[in-house]
Amino acid sequence: MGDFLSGAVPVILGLAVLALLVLATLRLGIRFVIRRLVGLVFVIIGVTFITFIMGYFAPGNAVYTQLGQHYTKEAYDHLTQFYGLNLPWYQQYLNFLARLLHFDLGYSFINEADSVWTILGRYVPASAVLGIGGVVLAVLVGVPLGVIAAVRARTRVDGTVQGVALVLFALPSFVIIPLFDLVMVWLHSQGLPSLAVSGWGTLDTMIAPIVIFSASIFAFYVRLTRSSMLEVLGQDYVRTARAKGIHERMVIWRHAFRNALIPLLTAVGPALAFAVVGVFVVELLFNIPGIGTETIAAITQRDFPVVQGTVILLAVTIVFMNLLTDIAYGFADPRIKTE
Amino acid sequence: MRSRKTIMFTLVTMASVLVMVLTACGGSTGGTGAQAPDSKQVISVSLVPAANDIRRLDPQKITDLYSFSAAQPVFPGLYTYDNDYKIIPWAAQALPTVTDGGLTYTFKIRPGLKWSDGTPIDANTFAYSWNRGLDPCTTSGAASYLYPIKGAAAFNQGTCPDANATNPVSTDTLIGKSIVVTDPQTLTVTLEKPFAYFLPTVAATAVVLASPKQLIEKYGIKEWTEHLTDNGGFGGNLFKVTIWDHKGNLQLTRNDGFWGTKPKLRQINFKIYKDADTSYNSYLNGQVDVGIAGLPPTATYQQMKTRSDFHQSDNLATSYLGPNWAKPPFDDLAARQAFALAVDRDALNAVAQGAGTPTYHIVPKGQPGYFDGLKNIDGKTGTAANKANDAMAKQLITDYANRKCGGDITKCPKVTYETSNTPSNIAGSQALLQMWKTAMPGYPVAISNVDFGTLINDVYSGSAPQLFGIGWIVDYPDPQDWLSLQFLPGSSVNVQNINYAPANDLMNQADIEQDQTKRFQLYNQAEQMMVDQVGWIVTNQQIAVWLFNGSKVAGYRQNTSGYTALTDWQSTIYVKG
Repeated sequence: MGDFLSGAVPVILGLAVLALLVLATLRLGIRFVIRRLVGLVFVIIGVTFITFIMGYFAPGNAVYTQLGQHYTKEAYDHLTQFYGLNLPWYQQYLNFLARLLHFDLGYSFINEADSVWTILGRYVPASAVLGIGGVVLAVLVGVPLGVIAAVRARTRVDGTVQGVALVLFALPSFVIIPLFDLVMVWLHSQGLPSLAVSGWGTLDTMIAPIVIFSASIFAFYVRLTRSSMLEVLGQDYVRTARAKGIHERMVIWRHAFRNALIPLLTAVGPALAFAVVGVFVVELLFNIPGIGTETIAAITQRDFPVVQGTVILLAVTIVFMNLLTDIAYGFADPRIKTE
Repeated sequence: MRSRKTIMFTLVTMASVLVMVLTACGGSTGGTGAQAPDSKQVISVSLVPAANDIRRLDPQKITDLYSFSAAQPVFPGLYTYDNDYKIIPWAAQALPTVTDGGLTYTFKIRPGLKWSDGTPIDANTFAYSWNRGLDPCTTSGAASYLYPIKGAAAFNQGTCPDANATNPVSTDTLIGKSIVVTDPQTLTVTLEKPFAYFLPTVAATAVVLASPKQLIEKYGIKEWTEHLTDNGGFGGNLFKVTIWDHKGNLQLTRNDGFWGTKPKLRQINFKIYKDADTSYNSYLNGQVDVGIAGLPPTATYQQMKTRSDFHQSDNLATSYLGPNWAKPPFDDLAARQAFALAVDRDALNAVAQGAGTPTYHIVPKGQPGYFDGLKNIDGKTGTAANKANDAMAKQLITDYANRKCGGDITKCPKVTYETSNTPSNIAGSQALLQMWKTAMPGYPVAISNVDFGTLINDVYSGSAPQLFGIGWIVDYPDPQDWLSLQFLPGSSVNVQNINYAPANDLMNQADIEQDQTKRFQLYNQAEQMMVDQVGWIVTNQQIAVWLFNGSKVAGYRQNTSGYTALTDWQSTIYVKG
């Protein structure tokens, strides 16, 4: 399953981006899409420049990190020259931009046999499945519960939903995961079946990380949906719909929920983008080969090509997610125009 | 009422699904008994490089223990160490013939050795590999291990004509000069000086392992290790690489073409972990047979050490404080000794909750050349020498203050102790600060906890901090690795500007002394001088901890260098029936 996902994700993502651009062109117009794509270029230049400057002036250097106590001046000189780190900072950055024009992100300083593309291709799929799966599950569970809590506001149902959401909100994944590990280890010690506590790629390794990551963020969607719904349910048009005798289910889902969607859509888009590189704790504690832990390792080892690659990935994903959100706004509320 | 029924139904359904999933995905415990059939000779072993993957499998470029642990069973060396640190001929027929007063080593290589693709492994293979390790185009971080070879340092300091080529190679070479292939079974190497630690480096480091020229030339310097898994796997030692997914799985499968006794194990599945506690939990959950456990002060350590399957060893690795002799106050012996004598190693170890074994020895226990009679600065030996001597520290720092600070201790040069920001190091540095303040009231001292990358940068970038806390893990089990390499002027790792002529003489003599007993005696004397002169303030010998499922696996162990010896992979370790 893991191999299938690794192979399929880039193709699916490519097709999704293409579909998104076509849909955006149809819904929002070609000028809007071009404006966003031009904006993306400036976003990439901006974030890569900031990352580069921070990396350049931060203490530490990949060559010292790589050599550690095997440091010799000769080895240091060879590697510094090999990576182009002996050049002035502006030349290093211009070289990076020149390579970027050819979609060349360079090679990792630490694992010099791996190009940054190879590293992204290797570790993004697991993070994408984990992050997107977690957000989607959180939305699928959190949004209906938020609607129920709003519809039954200030009842026992509302209290229970909010209570559970608050407890999970207060329990970060680095607390839930060790508890989960304890339960699984106990089950195993009793000779009972248990889920894996580490690894990725098979069903038994994927369930727990996705569910736990989802549990750690679903409270946000419950509370956001509940507050949006409560605001909408108090509007005149909802009262009018009820007065017209429309079935309550229709009132809630067609009239109220659709209007409560806007803040949710605003939150979900960037959340999906950040989830891909932001599931570091879950990746670490479940030993998932993801881009989050790879990026943290790259930062600590001063492996800046990999850091730059991740930053670009994040920037591009956020821009496209915002585009998706813009399209979704139009579906949720046709009054919203591109301008 | 209806909604309650719905909720109950949903809960029951979810519980049923969970039980089904758990049943489908569950593991089981191993059995006991004699040797299991060959089909079951598979074990999974944790490696914890704190990353998604080991760094590399290219022998000439390996500089870390985890990569070495995985590469050594695949790429043969001429020699290896057993668990008692005795050198065992491996691809070599016997120990080398040493002539010309220790300048010339003649290695006889076993006939008929082959890579798993049928390509011969002979003297040409080793000549190519060693020369490759030194070639500036290889950009090896481990080339300096081969510097004892005549002309090696100059060759390595040369330039690479085209570093961006697929397989860059220097126009220069040592083959035919100081690395000579007399015939396919004979390799003759000439050294710069009769360095007696040359053989230990040949037996213990990755840079001297054989590399397959045919793969490197075909796929290039960056890509060749990606092709190790092609066509059923590749190797030339006990095992070959059959899976390396870079996502935490490295599988080695028995190499049926290996020349000697073949291992009982059919497969080793290395599982790469980012975190020791996750490895531990995976072990407890039956996902791996060997778990690498977390060190103190992790909470799990206290649980683990009560288990019958828990193993702990004092490794050939030490933690030490390095004073920079070029920076005041550590340009003065009295100040160095005062700071050293104020350190209570037992108290420090208590703060670290047993993260090491307190010691003041530079050459660690268990290492050939260990000096049992070593005295601390105040003349004490054994465990008594681990205690602080506050009275003597105060006397020495008062003397220093009188000479260098106008008699006012508060006006002495401020000392900032820099170390990494791990929880144990932060706690340790706070404890050290308290010890110095207690023994030397009024002396201006501060601590700086930085991330490990910054620490390495600060220590090795030309101007090491006044006083830093770091560790050293054995490269090769020879006292030279702990003494001459660290303290001789001109050594690349002597970043503390240490230069003490009487010790220099002893170390230089020891490095080329061919009589092992005399050699170790010289190193012992040098070590005593370096303790007295405060080259390092050693605080502890680091421990390693691991667990293995003894009901399933027999004979697993790590040596005190932190990896499993080839001799154990070959004959000791197997899966019980």
